[in-house]
Amino acid sequence: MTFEMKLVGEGLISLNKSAEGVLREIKSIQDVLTLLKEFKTSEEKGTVEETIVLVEDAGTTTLAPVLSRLKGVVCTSGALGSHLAIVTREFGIPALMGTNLDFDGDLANQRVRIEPREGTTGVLLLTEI
Amino acid sequence: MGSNSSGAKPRETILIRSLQDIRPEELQDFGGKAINLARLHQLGLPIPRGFVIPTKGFNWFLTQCQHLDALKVLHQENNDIELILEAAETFYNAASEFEIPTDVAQNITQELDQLHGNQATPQSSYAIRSSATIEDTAQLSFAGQADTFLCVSDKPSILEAIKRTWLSIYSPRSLLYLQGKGIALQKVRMGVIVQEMVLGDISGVMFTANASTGDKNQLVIDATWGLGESIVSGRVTPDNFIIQKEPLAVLHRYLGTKAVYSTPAPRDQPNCTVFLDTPEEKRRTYCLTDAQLFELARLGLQIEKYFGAPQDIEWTYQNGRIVVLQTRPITTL
Repeated sequence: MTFEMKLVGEGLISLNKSAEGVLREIKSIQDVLTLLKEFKTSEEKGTVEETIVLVEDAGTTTLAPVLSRLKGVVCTSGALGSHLAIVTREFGIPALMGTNLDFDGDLANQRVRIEPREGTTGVLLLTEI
Repeated sequence: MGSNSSGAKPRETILIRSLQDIRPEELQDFGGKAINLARLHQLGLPIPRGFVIPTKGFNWFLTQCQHLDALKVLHQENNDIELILEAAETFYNAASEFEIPTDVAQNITQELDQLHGNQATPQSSYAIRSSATIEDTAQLSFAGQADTFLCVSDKPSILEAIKRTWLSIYSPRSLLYLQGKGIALQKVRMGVIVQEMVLGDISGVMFTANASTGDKNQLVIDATWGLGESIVSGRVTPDNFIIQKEPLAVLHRYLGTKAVYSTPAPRDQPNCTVFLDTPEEKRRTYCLTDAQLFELARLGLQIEKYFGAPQDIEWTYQNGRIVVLQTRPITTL
């Protein structure tokens, strides 16, 4: 089996750590609650899916209830001094901040990977099997 | 509704204190942010002048709310997030009715008068900021969980902002953060800082270690035009600089889009800030010169040395002069 990675975004990474998972888009606190319920159900079944969330607003610190269950966060605004970057670090997961997405199509529910690069930069890769 | 109607023992005196007079051992009385600001002042660094309403004020507020069923729900150990959020909304609405006691309000007014004295101008305004007992400590940042009110100018709005700051512990994002961190709500006490508003031209955040990589020989600076609110709230992608500590050198610089900047609202919308579009030429320009980067870096090193650990520092440049707005330990190295 071969894995190919396609570069779909670049940003600043809050933690020098790679992460991989299925990308879920979060737009509201309701989305956070839905995701939390899904995590709880899948934990009971033992089928937890590795998850990375995509948010637009770096003020989205309402992600807190799910942060301990996430592999990473991709945020299209903000930088390393944003509250989201600071809070995600406290939960030990990388956040790709100020991410410039370069992808024609829908990344939701696709498997992606966050990888650190030079300095404090990082990339978002689409994992294609 | 401001009086103690339960017939309980009289309220303790709530003594407001100048920021500069707060001592490091008074964390439980004034909260983490106030303690750190006082230490910056003791180091001789410029901080905005101000005073702190102690956590006793928050305690009084809670006493007034004890009878509310929603508060009881919030103070119980509970993992049902929907129940927590529902109780939070009910509590927030009910507790909004309370008013700060008259004597405390008078003390706050006196402090405001003393702060500006004859220097007060129609443009004088204040920042009202949370200083929780768990905030900006070595273990927890509590970053962005409680509310901050900027450019508040008239006294009734300042009193309202103080109450809103107390209440913001019960905001969904704060409750969810505390739940995620496994911290009992009852352990949290809130001091409130009232500081003169510094209308910076360039503002940002400086980490005295590279928190992304763990490299303690580097500083990382985020900077943008206007007030720093646009950075911490994540509204903009700021300029980002990586600085080598020894010898001082700029290792990397990334030009941020800086699409908007935060600035005081026009006079017809008092007591708040607005985001305006950044002019094109300013978006394409780095907002800090190398000389300013090195000035900031030296300041960061001084603060780090004094506090004995890498720091996450908010700063602003006003008319070419740096003012330090807060410092907290980097919680994740």
